[in-house]
Amino acid sequence: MKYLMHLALLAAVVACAKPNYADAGRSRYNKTQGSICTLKFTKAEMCMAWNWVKAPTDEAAGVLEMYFSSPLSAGEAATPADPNYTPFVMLWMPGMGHGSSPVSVERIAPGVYRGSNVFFSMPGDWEIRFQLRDGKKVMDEVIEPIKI
Amino acid sequence: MIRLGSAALALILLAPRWALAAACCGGNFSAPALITGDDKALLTSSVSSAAVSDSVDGSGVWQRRSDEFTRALRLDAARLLSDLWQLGASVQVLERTRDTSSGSQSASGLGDTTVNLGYEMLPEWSYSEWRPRGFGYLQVRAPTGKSIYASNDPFMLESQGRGLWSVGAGGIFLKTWVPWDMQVSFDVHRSFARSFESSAAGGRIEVRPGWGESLSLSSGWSRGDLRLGATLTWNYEDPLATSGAVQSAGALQRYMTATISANYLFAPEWAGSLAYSDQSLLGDPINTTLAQTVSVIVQRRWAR
Repeated sequence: MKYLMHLALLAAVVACAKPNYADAGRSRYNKTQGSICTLKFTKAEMCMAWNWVKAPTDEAAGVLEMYFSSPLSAGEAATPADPNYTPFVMLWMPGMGHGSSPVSVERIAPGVYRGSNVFFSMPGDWEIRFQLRDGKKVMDEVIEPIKI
Repeated sequence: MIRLGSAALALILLAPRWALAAACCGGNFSAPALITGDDKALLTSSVSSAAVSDSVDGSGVWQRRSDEFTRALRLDAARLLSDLWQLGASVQVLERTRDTSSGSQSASGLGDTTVNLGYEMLPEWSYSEWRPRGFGYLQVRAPTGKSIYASNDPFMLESQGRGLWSVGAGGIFLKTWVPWDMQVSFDVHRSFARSFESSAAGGRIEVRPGWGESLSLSSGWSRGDLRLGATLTWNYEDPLATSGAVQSAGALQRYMTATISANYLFAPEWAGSLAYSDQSLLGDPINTTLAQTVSVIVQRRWAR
């Protein structure tokens, strides 16, 4: 019996972990640009695009900007528009079940909102959750997965 | 030799599971404070230092890290209530540190507290070549440490506990064939849903955990007052789902810890242990941080 247990322990030793490391040169912070309607709030019938003004690092918070517009039909130009509800940005780590420090959102121009204090507390799979809220109630939401 | 075996086994019961506290965000279900030798009471003090070496995401992709450390002081006490029944408790204080280019940031506080009720299911009234000595236990974990949901610190260093009530049951089986000894232990635990007011989420969230399990295999060899041991521990946790301000299904977590230790009996009433654990060597971890931990344990025993 004792020899079987020792063999089991020895077998476990050879079941070594096989680390699958991320590429060292991979850009860790996605930068979305240009597209007028990258994300769609279907309930609020709004489009949104966003990009980093200042990308966050392992130690410092970043700043992003959101560009809201009315929905497009084929051939129409986008029209910047403020959403009917308050934009809110939340960072969430679905695997660990926790968020990060609160993101401050302020309006800087019609249809343009800036989110500051965007900080990812640890590497891994995160979600940037862009929400439209009425007080504390979430009226609409789009989720942007991001790998840190 | 039998006296050494029972003392050393009492130490190895604590040493390998101590490394589990290095996992993310307040640690996981901890080993019970149990008397597994011929003692009527035990008081154990442990100091450990853990360094996070990797983060593994939900897809199994690893990232090297060298910026986060955790030091912990843990006290375990156990006492017999009768020949077969016993009561134990554990408390710990944690200090978490994050290195940045502008210096280190730290936060410390009380971690979660556990209380367990144990019963010797298989007492060793007479020698048997094959029949082990066996203990069963029930354990309650109280969220006395600040949870990650209540933390506003950007590095989440204030998170010293899991934030959830948990109840578990487990078993420990030991056998000695001098100079060899062997131990198998396992537990199943269930955590309970809880609501938090989260500034990060901008509202109230309900965290809905599930089940978790662990299995540990340990083996040791003794010579004189010295025992050398090795332990493998597997851990699994169900996804942490959330609702309210955040709707999320969560993701499961698993990892494996390998530990080597040296135990020494200084006197009939005193024993010590030095242990090293590594979570990056074995298994197929997912959705977790991995750490290396060094622990020093001192135990005072009161004989029956």
